Amino acid sequence: MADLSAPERSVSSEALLAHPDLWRAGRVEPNSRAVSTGYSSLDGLLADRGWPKAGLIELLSPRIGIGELRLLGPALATLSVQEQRWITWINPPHIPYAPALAEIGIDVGKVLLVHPKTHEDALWSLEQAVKSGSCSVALAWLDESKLTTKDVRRFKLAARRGETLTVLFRSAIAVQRQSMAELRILMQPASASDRLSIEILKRRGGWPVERLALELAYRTTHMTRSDLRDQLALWRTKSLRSVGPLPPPRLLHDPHPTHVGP
Amino acid sequence: MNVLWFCVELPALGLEVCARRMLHEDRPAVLIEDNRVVARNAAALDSGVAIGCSLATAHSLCHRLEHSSRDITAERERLRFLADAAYRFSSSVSIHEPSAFLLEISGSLRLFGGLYSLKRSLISLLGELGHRATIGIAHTPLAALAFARAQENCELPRWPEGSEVKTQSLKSLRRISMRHTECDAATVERFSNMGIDTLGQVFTLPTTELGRRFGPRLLDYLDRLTGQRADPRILITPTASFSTELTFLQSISNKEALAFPMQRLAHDLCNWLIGRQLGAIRIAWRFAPFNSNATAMEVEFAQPQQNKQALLSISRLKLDVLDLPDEVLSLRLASVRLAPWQAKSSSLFARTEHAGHSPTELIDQFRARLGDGVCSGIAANDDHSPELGWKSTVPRLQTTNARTKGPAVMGTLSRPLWLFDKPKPVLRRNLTLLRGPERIDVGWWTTPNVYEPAHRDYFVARHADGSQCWTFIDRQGEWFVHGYFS
Repeated sequence: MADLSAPERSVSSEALLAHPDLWRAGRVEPNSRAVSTGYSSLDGLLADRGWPKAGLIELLSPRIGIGELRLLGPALATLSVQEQRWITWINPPHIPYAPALAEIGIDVGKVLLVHPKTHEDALWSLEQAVKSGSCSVALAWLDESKLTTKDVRRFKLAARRGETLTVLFRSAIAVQRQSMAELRILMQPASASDRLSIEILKRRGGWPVERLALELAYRTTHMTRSDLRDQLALWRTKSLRSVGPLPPPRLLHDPHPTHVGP
Repeated sequence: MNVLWFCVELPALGLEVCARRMLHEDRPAVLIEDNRVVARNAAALDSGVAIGCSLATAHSLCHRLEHSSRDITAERERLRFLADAAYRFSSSVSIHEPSAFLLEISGSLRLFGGLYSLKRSLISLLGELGHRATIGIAHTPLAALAFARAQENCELPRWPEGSEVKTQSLKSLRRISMRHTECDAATVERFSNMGIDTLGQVFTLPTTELGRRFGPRLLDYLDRLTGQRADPRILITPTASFSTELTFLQSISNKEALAFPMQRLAHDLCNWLIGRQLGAIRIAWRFAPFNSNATAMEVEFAQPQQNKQALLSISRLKLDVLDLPDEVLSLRLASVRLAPWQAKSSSLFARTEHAGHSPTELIDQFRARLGDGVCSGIAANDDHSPELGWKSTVPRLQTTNARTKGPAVMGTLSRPLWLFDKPKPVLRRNLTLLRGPERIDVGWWTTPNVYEPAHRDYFVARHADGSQCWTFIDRQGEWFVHGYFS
């Protein structure tokens, strides 16, 4: 006969929670196929610790030019160096300026610009680019009024298949619309320069995040006087080296003047 | 000397040439010469169509019958094409009309892994191209031809010696029926009347008597057959470019239906390219209606191409946006520009490489569907003026800036990431200047009035709408936005 009065074997709640059969909603396995965003505070909020390398994300902004490229910049730079695949820009609203792209570390030799004439062609080009598997990143600016949920879903499936980081730049009005994207971020201009305020509308394994102020990775500076001096010095040595060895430096206050002025 | 001849006989060449023009291969089909059926396919055979019956009889026996009269020119062209395709096995290929070609393959045995492996490769190549072949192997071309026609297999080892081939061939020749030799029907009948059916019986007859009765041509034939007299052959030189035309039995009026014949031609082209170790850079399709102007479509590839699927998918994209004649009756595929083929070695455990898609194929797809100017690459340009600081290039996947060592995370940015096509006027009161000025003299050396330099003072500014702009003030005191530090 079992002794009914014996106390039950006590099980601590910690041990119970550690049971391998128990899955807790807060625990999401990070996807190894991700590329760091370059912003540690943002990486920390994402389940994959970065942008998904094979997935669709949406960046929503009220207007172009508030810092969306600098937000993606570190990841683009990493992928452009790591992978021998295209970084495709479909329908960019302005000219991606090659000197600036090189400045932030993007290999411009891998940049492919596509300018389709119609919305249908743009959809087609994005899908081709993404599913072909020959692009590491595809960035697209599409006509918001004609974009349907079905299209977005197709891009998501294609992105998985082609292992492409697919980024849709959408207008802020798309906040109201449903989307299949794995990650949706709304960007707002911050109050200070070189900063961006973001709001994560949708992410894997977590609730939306209200507001996050990011210090953008690349500060906008211009050449200062000392920079200019350095540049000039560099230019001078370069131009002299091609002619012959550097002449001995002439001192400003020559202790043994070779000639005497009038 | 060690000589080994392969003879490839195509017993159904006429019918196979006809089948290439049909849209539905499974339909019964017959080949007509002088209003009589001279060949029929399996489906027609099932319906009971006999060789030698009239076309009307054949039609009454099976109502979906497709017929085509024998086209000697097309057969000759096809034979030539197949001989070209077989050129990959040997450099000595000779055509024996109407339906056979010969290869001297003693030099190729080692490369292709022996007699039987080579034979299998040859049969499977021809099978892929849509032809059924019988192969004869012997020490002389004519003996090989006789074996191929009689479907006689010499018992040869995998690596035969010259003497062995000769003895085996001579032995097997004795069994060959006179019907399978090159002798004309009258001669065969005369032999038959004499009670002689096989070559073995002929060999026993005295030569002088044979010469007196049948003339010197027979003796000459027998000497060449057994190898007592040399039998030089005219060898083909491979054609320098590819061009093949298909004329359909019925005209085609929709693009989907064209896919099938296009596939056939592309298959032929790829086979030809592989045989010649070439890649296509530019190919031309020509869609011709019955009696008006043909429509041409040229397709260009960023890299030499040998893959049939790639050739076809790009061609189809281009075809989608092409205006075709209402009814296409013939289709031609020709190579326009070729380049030596360099096989790419792909890494064994490639993680990011996806099967069948190279970076240039994407460009080809875009060009084919959207037009030539739709894709471009970019490059930095060494020019002082901002507008000329970049240039549009031909997209070519490459690692350009060797200086790039990954992301410059806490770096600085002196130029905007978005540049405007043309500077846009802006109101000064909307701008908060952050940094500057930087004076850039813009192309005063190109402006007509050199005394008035067109300099601009650039500032980094923040627009009231929140964007960070690259703005400048020109000499007239007007403010412009030239880009975004996005």
